[in-house]
Amino acid sequence: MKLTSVLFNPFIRVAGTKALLIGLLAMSVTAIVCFLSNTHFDGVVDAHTGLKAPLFSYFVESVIMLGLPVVFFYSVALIFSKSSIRFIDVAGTLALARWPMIFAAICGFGLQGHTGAIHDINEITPVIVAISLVELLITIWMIVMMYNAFKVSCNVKGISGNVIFIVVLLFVEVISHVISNEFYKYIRIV
Amino acid sequence: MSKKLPHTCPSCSATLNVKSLVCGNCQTEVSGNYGLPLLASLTDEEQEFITNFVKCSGSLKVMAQNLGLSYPTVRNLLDDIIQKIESLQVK
Repeated sequence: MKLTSVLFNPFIRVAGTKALLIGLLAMSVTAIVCFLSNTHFDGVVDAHTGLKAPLFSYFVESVIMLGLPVVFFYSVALIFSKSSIRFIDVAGTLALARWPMIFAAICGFGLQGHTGAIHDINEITPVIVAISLVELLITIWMIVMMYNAFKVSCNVKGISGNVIFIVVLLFVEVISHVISNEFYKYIRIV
Repeated sequence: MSKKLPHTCPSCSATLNVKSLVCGNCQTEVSGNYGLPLLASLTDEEQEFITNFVKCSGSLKVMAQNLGLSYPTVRNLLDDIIQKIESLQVK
């Protein structure tokens, strides 16, 4: 398998239960790294650093960030796909698509002491800019993987497939923010 | 070198028919105007896929294992071939 295929579209060879197990393992490791680096995924395609929270909250975040795309992409694919798609393939490929976020969690170590909110332009240091750019690239990498996961598992192609992907992704991003903010009201964040 | 069976006219892109068939043993020739079977209109890769599919008793799971591909990838390839066959049947 080519390196580009391994990095961006491993779903040609790995899907279903195997992809789900690898993805869940990667997400568990990511949740622990997030706990250590105080990195939060409060949206499907974004990360923030600086606030301490209990360990279980990082796992809940992971469940939300995987569960929402799986439910909505699967539901939409049931309507638009002409193939007989399987839930396990959608869940497995989308779980595996989140593995790059482990690097976003590691980046959080470089932003210790920052709460994620910039109040003054002088607070923007070269380190913050560099890490933000790296995190942006990691997020783009994950979105490309999510797109390929959707394409392979749901077999929705062409312009309509691209439009459906973008609309659903934006929708789950908004929904995940709302649910995360509701969740944060019930846990102790320092 | 294996020759590929042409199935569309290079001039007008219409579907080609078979004009003559020859016995490889005694060289007897049969002339006529025979339509190409539907499966002959598929590419070599697509025909190979169908052969593998039949040999795997129509099991996509077994086929995915044999080809080293994921189940949805194999299912998508099959769906593409089904779509192509359906469009050929419409013609």
